[in-house]
Amino acid sequence: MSGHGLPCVHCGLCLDTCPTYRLLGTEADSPRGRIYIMEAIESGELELDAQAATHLSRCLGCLACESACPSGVSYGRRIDEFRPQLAARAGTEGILKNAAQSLYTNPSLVDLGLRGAALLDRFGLGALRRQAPGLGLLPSASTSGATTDNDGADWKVTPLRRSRVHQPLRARLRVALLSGCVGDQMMPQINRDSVEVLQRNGIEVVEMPGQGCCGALALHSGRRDEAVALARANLAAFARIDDVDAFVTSAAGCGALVRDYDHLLAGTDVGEEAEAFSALCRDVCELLVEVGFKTPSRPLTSAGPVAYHDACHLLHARGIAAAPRKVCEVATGSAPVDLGENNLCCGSAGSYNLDHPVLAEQLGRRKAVLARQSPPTTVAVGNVGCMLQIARALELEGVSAVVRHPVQLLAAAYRQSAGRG
Amino acid sequence: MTFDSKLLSELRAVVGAEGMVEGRASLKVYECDGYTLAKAAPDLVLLPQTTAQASEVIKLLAARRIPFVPRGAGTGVSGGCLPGDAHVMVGTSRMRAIRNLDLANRIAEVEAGVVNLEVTRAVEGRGFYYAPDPSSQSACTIGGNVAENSGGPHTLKYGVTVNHLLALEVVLPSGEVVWLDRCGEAPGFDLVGVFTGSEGTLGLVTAAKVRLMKKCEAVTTLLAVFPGVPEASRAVSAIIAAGIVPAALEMMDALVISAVEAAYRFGFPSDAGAVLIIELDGLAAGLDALAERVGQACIGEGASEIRRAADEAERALLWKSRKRAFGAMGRLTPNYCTQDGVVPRSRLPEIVAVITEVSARYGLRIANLMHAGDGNIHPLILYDESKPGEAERVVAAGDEILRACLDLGGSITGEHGIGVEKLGLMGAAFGTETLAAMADLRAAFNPLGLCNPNKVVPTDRSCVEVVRPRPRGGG
Ligand SMILES: Cc1cc2nc3c(=O)[nH]c(=O)nc-3n(C[C@H](O)[C@H](O)[C@H](O)COP(=O)(O)OP(=O)(O)OC[C@H]3O[C@@H](n4cnc5c(N)ncnc54)[C@H](O)[C@@H]3O)c2cc1C
Ligand code: SF4
Ligand code: SF4
Repeated sequence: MSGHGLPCVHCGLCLDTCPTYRLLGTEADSPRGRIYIMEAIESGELELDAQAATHLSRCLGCLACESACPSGVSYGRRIDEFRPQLAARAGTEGILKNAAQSLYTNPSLVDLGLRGAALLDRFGLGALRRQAPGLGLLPSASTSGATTDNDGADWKVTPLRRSRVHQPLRARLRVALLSGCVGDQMMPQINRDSVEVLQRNGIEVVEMPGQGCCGALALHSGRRDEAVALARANLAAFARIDDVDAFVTSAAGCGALVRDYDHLLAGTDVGEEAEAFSALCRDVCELLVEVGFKTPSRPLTSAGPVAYHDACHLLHARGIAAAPRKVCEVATGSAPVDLGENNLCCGSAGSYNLDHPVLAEQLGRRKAVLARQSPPTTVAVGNVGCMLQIARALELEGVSAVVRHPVQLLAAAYRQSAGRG
Repeated sequence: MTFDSKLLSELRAVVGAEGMVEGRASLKVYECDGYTLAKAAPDLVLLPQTTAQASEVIKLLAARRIPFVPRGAGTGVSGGCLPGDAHVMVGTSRMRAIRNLDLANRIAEVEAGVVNLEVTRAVEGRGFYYAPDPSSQSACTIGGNVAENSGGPHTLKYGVTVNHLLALEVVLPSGEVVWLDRCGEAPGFDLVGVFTGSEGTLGLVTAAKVRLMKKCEAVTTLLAVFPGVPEASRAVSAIIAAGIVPAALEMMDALVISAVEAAYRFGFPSDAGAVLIIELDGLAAGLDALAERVGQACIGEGASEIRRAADEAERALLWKSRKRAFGAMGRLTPNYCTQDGVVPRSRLPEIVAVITEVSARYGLRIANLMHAGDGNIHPLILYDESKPGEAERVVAAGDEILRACLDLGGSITGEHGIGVEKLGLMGAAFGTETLAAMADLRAAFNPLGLCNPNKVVPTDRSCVEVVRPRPRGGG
């Protein structure tokens, strides 16, 4: 296969940014090693045997290596093109994995899981619950606000209908929200708060009927066709609404893929639409900073010291670092500190914690340990998956801090300011 | 090479399953480092986590007379990690503890696998840093730095790795652990000095005590733009002749500029034939005057303009562009070979003329990156591995340039080492007696040749052929 963009010159500068290399120390679990293996498979020097597949599948897709690579190697696209082969190899194991994944993308099953988890937690059986497959990955309500702590937000209605009454009379911009799938269900309050924050800043939010999962989970698991189908469905939904200035996501993982629809669908009959769509996609914090947003009259001091962690799909996939920090700063009145090792993935990475629970947990715990060193009251991170992962790690390590999306902090600051004048 | 199962289980008992790398796919990635013209995969890689484990595995290997090659991050560019006759590799990637930070005495004790930049990260909050700053510092290890006696842009004023080492913990090829210490004013030989730069041929470094430096009060960075490399080279001599020792004095030519511009969009003038990056540090008072004098020296040699980094962010971006310039070459070419040679500073214009001529004669594009203040040149020879014969031409062109360095009174390596790449030139650089003395020195530490055999000092077995390029791909 060629057409991968720029070649890897084997300099090794990406090695130490790679979470799996940092944990395992094995070259085959580094970006340079993985590229080497892929090239050797392509040239017939290696087969995609169990060992090669293990090294490749351990990749989190965090793209830290792309940030580090001076040669501009498009590692992410390259491994994604390889993933179907990996999935095909995985056989029965893969079937089980896909089943577990569909559990996560099936709304009613997730709902059931969340309820079950909340129930077990309520009866003090949280420790037991965390051992259970599937359920173990969910954090308790108190740390993440994932379940009952959603202050009334209901995933069964669209984010627009969750929000109260802030649609501006005279809008300066019109946007549609890409609400995502499982993340929206687990933390419906994030999209609701995104809508509210946008509206309070004079931005009209419109419905986008017919939209669905962005396809990231499928793509990164090697189900490329499924990802393409999902992307096409979203493009069709996009074609049905007119005159929006931007499509907004609050989940970095979705944001990274929708921005890459142009590449995913390049050369197809909808290539042009995909390009137009990708160009209009924005992360919620990115858009706020781009068009300007209000400073609340009273900063949200109750959030306490905030430690910000960069979601890989913001930092590495999109190069977005300043905007979410700015949102935190305006919301709380002081700039957040870094959680630490901010360019290192927390281990969430889509369904990674289903496939590689040990590595995922090690990475998660690293974050919690850092959080303990300079205790933040709030950990802010702009992606649902990371929020769940970090919340769970904080719980495992017994660190008391809550996890919030930056827009949640801003929404809370606005509400508090409005309430007290 | 196959190993008997008893040995394998003994090794596994020491380093655990995670510390044993076996199997084709897992091993193949170790077949080269940053030097991709020669390749050979080891049959086993051991990744100890502690000095004790390293000592144990090396004892087990020594008992069976099995040679090994040390590996850090594999960013070396002279093939020092190539297994060759050693079928076992001992890597330090899992030895990453910062054992002790003694800020009062400005000493950090770190394990060999700690990445160079991490040392600075650990102490920068307190105003300290670790001075040797190879461009690969975000990835290369302290152990590798010791082995190669690595330098960097700031070598001109602050010296290379050996100038910042206080003590080394090493596992000798027999498996014995010793500390080589120069902390106190101990009489006798400077064994730290002997070990540093020995390219892994005397034993495995497992930890080092390094000196930490206090950040300067003020620093400023200038960018001087020249019509071509000759003018910039003359300016280098002019600056030094004016009695100024910049913290760093780096040169990039037009080809390098176009690569880093593609990668980082710093905004280098598009018509620049060459630029000098000149960093000055010291007390705040007087720095402006110094900058003025440097500017005058450059203008005097034909600089068209002098720019100055406005703030820390601009300075950081400028250095990022420079430090990642090697890697950024991938923007221009599928493959490149980094050469490394030294000439007396005053003879830079002459070697530049040689490089230009070699480039034309071989039909190979050569980009020039230089630690110009040290006379340390890095011609980057661009090529395409998939074109028949090109890799061989690259080697020949590189050889010619290095021989010219020798003719000009310089050396065949400034900081990248001999490895396997330059074994063939050792005879031209040193007489037989000197080479014999080096072999004797090595034998004192490594009598059975068990540690990184056939590197650095040529033997009759150490001739390395340029391998056929792989069918496709990076490398
Ligand atoms: C993009 C790029 C930029 C570079 N810039 C510079 C630069 O500015 N200055 C510079 O000096 N070099 C530079 N280098 C070369 C290289 O990074 C250095 O030589 C570095 O010190 C190698 O460290 P490493 O950990 O990668 O060692 P490796 O490549 O793994 O090993 C290098 C050699 O050291 C030996 N070795 C490694 N670890 C140990 C140990 N613990 N004990 C004993 N022997 C050991 C190996 O056997 C081998 O011979 C650059 C390389 C690249 C790819
Ligand atoms: S995407 Fe992340 S995990 Fe995968 S190779 Fe790159 S840095 Fe490593
Ligand atoms: S992916 Fe980029 S940084 Fe990593 S080895 Fe290849 S060229 Fe270097």
